[in-house]
Amino acid sequence: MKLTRHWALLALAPVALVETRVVAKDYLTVEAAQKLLFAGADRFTPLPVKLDDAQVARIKALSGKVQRNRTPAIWRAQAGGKTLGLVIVDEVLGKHENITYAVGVSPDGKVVGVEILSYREAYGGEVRSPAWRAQFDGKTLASPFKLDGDIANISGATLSCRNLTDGVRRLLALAAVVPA
Amino acid sequence: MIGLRHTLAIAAAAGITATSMAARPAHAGEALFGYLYTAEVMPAGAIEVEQWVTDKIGQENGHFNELQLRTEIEFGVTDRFQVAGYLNTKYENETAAPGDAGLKFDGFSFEAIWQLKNPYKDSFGLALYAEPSIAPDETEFEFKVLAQKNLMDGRLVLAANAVAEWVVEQQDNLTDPLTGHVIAAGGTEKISELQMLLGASYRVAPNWFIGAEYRYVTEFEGLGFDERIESANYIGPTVHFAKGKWFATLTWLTRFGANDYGPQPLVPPGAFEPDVTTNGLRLKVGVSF
Repeated sequence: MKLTRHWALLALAPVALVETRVVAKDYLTVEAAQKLLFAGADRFTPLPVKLDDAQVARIKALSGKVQRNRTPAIWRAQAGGKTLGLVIVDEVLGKHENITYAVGVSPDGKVVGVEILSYREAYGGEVRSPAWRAQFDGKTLASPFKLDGDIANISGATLSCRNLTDGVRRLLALAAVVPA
Repeated sequence: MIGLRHTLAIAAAAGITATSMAARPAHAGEALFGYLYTAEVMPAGAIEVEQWVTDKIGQENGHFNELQLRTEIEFGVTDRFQVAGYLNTKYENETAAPGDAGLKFDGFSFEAIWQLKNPYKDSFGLALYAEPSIAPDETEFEFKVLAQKNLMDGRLVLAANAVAEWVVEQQDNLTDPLTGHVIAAGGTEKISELQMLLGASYRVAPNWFIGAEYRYVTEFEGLGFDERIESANYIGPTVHFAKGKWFATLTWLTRFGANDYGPQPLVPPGAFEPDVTTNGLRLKVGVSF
C-alpha cells in the first residue's frame, strides 16, 4: 500500500500545475476615506459609542440586520464647527476574507458616499468601482437595497455585494440611533 | 433631468457589467463540504479545476482500501447553469485479491447543475443536479436536489441533498479465490440507491470553515426502489480552507447504524463490497480561473 503514502502528492498534481496569485489589498486609510467622503470638512472628531441592547434592537428593526459590533468606529465630519455628517467604518464578510468599508451619512440620513478601504478577495474587486459604489449615493432607510433591484449584483461576488448592500443599510440605521 | 439620470444609470450599469465580464469572477463553485453539494454554481464563463481523493477505508471482515481519484473541470455556462466533466480512476487493495492492486481507469462522468434559487439573493438556495457516468463495467445515473440556507450573513451555511441513483453493472463470474471454482455466473446487476445528506459549516475565522456532515444511504435491488438490500448512516467532521483562487476541503465520515435486509449479496471469501466501507476520507482541492 505504498501508493497511499504518496497519494496526496500524486492526486494533487493536476491542480498544482496551475499558476495562481493571491490578492490582499488595502486601498485606503481611514483618513483618506474620511476626506473622500466629506471633502469640505476641516476636522473629523471621533464619536465614542457603546451601543446598548435597545439601540441594537432598534438598528435591527430599522435595517433588518444585526449590528454585531457594539463599539462602532464613528467620526463627526465638521466644517467651521458645523456637522456635515458622520463617517462610519465597518467590516462585512466577503467570500473568504473580511471587507473593510466606510460610509458617509448626511445629517438627514442619506448616504453621502461609500468607500472600500480593504478588499482582500481574488474576485469581485469591481465593488471598488465608482459606478458600483455610486449606486448607494442618496439612499435612505426607505430605499429598497435590493440586489439585482436598485443595487446591481456582480456575478461571482454575490456574497460581497449582498453583505456590502446590507452593511450600508445597517450603517444608515446605526447613524439614526446614535446621538447627533 | 430625468433623461440625464437615466443615461447615467445606464452608463453605470454598463460599466459594472463590462468590468464584471472582463474580470470573469469564478469562485462561487468551490466545495464547502466533502460529500454534500451546496446550491451555488459557477458564474458564466468561469472555469474551475478540482481534484477529488476519496479513501474508502476498512470493512468489518478485514483489510480493505479503495482510493477513488476524480479530476474535474467545471464550467459556468450561464450564471445559473454549470456543467462539469470528470475523469475517474481508482486504486484498490484488498486481502482477497492482492494481485489485483493497482491504479485502474474507472470511467467518465458528466455533471450538470441548474440553480433555481440563489442562496445569496433569495431566502434559500435550490438547485437540481444530474450526473451520468460510464465506466468499463458500469453505467450510472445520479439525480440530486440541492438545498442551502445561509445564516448570520453567510457565517453559517446549512445544506441538504436528496439523492437518487441508478446503477447497471456488468458482473464477471464470481470465483472462489482458493479453488478457482465459479460460485456464481456473471450477468447484469441493477441497483438503485437513495441518499439523504445534511451538513452545517461555520466560518470560525477568515478563510476557515469547520462543520459536520451526515449521510444516510439505502440500497435497493433493481431500479425501482422496491427491494431494500441494506442501509447505513455516516457522520463526521469537515474542514474547509480557501484563499484567493484556491480551496481545500477535507471530510472524514464514519459509519454507524448499518442494517442488512433480506438475502446477502454473494461475495467471495475474504472479499469486500466497496460501497459498505466503515470509514471514508475525502479531500477536494480546487483552483478557479
